Amino acid sequence: MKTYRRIARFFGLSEEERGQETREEIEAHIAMRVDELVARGLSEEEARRQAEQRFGDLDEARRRIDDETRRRDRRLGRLERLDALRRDWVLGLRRVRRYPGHAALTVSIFGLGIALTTVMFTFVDSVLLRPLPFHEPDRLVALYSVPEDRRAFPWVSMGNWYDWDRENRSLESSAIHTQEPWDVTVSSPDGAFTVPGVAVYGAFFETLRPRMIAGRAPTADDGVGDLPLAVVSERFWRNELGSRPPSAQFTIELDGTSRTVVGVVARGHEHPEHVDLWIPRSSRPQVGGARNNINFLALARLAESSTLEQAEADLSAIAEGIRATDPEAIYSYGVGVRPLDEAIVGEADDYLGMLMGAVLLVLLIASANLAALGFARGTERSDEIAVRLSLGASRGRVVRHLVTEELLLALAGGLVGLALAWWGSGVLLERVAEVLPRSRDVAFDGRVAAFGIGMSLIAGLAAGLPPALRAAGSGAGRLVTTTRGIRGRGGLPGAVLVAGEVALTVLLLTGAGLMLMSFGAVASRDLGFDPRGVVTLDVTLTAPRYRDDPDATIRYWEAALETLAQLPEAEAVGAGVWIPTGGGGAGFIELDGLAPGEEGAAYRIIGGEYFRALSTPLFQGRAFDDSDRLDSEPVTVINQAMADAFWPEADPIGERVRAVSMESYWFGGEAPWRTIVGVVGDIRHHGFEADIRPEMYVPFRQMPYMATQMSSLVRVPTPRTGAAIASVRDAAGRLDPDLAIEVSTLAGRLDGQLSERRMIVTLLGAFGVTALLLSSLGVYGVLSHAAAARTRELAIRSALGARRTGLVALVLGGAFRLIAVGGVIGITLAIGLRGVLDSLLVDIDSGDPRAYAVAGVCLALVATAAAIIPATRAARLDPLEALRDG
Amino acid sequence: MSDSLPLLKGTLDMLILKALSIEPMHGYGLSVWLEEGSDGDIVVEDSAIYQALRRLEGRRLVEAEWGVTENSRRARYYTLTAEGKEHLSSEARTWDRYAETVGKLLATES
Repeated sequence: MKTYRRIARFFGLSEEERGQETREEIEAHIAMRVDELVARGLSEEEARRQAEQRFGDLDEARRRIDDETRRRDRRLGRLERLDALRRDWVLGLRRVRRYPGHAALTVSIFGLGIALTTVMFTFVDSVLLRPLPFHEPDRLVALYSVPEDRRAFPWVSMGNWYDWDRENRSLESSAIHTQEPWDVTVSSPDGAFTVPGVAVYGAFFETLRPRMIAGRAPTADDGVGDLPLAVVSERFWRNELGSRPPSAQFTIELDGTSRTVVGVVARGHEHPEHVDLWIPRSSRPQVGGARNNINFLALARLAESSTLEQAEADLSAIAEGIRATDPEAIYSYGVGVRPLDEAIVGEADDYLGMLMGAVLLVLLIASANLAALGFARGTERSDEIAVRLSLGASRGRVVRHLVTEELLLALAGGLVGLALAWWGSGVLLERVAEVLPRSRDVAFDGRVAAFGIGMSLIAGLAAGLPPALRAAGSGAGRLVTTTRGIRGRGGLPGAVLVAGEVALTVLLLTGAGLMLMSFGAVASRDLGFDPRGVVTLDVTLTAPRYRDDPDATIRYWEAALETLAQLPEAEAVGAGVWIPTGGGGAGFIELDGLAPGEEGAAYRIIGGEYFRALSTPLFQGRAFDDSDRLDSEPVTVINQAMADAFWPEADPIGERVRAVSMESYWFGGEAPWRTIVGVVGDIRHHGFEADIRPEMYVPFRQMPYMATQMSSLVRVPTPRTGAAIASVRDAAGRLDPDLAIEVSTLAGRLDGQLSERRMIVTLLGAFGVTALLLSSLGVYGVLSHAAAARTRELAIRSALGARRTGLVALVLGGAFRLIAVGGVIGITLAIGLRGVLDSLLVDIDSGDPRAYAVAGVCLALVATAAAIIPATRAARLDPLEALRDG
Repeated sequence: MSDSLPLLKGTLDMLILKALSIEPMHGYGLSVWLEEGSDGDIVVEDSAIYQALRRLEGRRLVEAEWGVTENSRRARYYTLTAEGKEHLSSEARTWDRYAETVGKLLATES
């Protein structure tokens, strides 16, 4: 009831008072007329009768007037509120004009916070929140293999998928595609070049339903026929194919085969991302060991009626059936079904979430900073507010007025922040497009702008409301009793906020420090080779004259290695089917004298002086040489990890292994036994983040069938790397001008591998530094105001003979308490939350005390520096002046 | 009352504004002013005046305050606001043009 009264009072009068007023007015009106009529000589009774008649039916009239009154009060209330708002804005704007410095600072702080938050949101929104661009994306799923330990992983074999596809009752359609895009050579009159492509099997396009901007999408039946078809990306079509409409006559030569271009996939609908070519191929059932060649990724469209769980149950039952009839199937303990977007985004989920959290902390720090500033200013404005209150402004009005002022600045900051974010997200996108999944979906649009404006309003409220409530709560009576005490008043909430800022900053700095340490640790990992001074040359032999003739392949590489070795700067030249930072193959192996089990190793085909070119040491035996030919004894060189894994106690030299998965097909189903002739150092072929695995090497002359695509490595003196790029390109061009070649450096390729980690470190570092700046600003602000409020106290102390250093220490003491309390809370928080980073940290423990110590010390130093300025200023005061003014 | 002129919509509001532009009045005063000013041609139910006043208050064209009459009775006195003055002069102009135009048309010889 009380609340109701209060609301009614807000509109002027209560319902009863309103009715009462109207009745009184009518009463007075009739009385006046009665007076008049009586004066004209009518009797009192007659006069009353006529007066009432003249007024109209009294009850009816009262009701109508009451209605009209209610309407009036609603209107007036509305107008009143509009007026108040307008007044608040005008007052706010006037203050902004009067204190442009404060306004600029506030707008900058809001702007910075909103800009960072909005940039991160742009990425989080596009990558994690928005659905995939395909038709009914909710029904798109990825199918995962499940091995014995029941931990599903994304790679599947054609054999298993073939059975899932035929026997399921829960999928509308499904397909597989090759896991990594390969470089497809496109022959053109201007010379050959490569574009990334994948082979697709099954109902790939029916499942995905990408938008086609020209031609048609091939069907599963096209694949079955193994027709020479190709689907191209819009980018490739426009840039290289002159936007020619697809037709039966439109063919292009891909890897030496003429293929008809049947359709063009719209930009943004490529899957996998960054692919320009899709080549439909026919699938075939595979049983036995071939079921375990997990070289594909599978996707499916759920049937209208089925759910993810039903599909998982349905497919897992099929998988169990496969294992019952095919005991060799080691990846058929079930089938994992995941939403396709989750499968695409993968681990980016972890760090994007972490970064979004970090940036929200920065915004929180910014708001706390402004709130602290507001408390300090509130103390200074208490006179003004007290005057307003004693002149009859309601507390609500004063609060609204103060908050409006802050909201005004927050909105301005939000607009500045949006402009910054628009620019910033573009810059960031350019840097991370290669490593961030779904980066092509990143869009700065109305949704993002709405988020930015919304966040700035929230931040403005957070920063403006607490100080406004406190200021209005301090009461009108204060005006008279305002003779200031010796000690400044009202510093406590500001101090608490700044301590909070300090704590959050320590948290952010610790996180950034841990990520930076991990980055350093990863980047300084021993790769097992020296990437400096190595020029790489990628060549694909696709023309039929190579493909159908292994001898021609061997002759080409022999000539290439020879030519490159003759370059004046070349110190060592080697080649490999997969060199470091490139792809790789792995398969099951058999050890001589052991029953076939689940032993496996990475498999690499190399030529020339591969290990010398990489500066990888040979520990035992010999490397390959020209005597290892197709008709000589099959040999292999293994890495130390493989020696340790399979012959921990014995000498592996002279032992025999065979690569059953990789070689059986090429040798009529029977892989040859290879004798181990050497042991070399471990190489992290997949870059810094990769683990070391057992690896076996095979000379290309003994395995020319898979050697149509090799990369040469030319070691040159490091300073001459740049010049060597040109001479390598020339030499390769002379060998066979029809081939597509790609020259770069090993160091450059490696660098690209660190860009994801570098992006996380850079962003988190930027957030940490911003937080550090903001909180030192907070310390500075709170201390300045505290010192100003204590002017009298300090002046008296000074007059009583306190030394200047003593005064500085007095003011600084307060700052130290603040920083210490904040720091301890921050470190406690950081320890509590360290699990967040666990999945992202490599080679560094999330509890590493160095990160915490550095963050703490760093903050203490900067914050102290910020505190020294107001402290010395306070100590330099002239006591006489200070006391006179106070 | 039977011979009195019917009031066009909005006219009462305008007349009240006119009356208040001369001096602040209470509701009864307005009723008397209308009747006497029109020589008895315009007579409205008194309740209509109060409804009009509420409307005008809601549009902030008039304001009211309790006061005391010559005969020492409490009454609510209505005053024209600045907005009310402005509104009245624009309404009066419109009325003049309207009346003139309609009058001219009606005076046309057939």
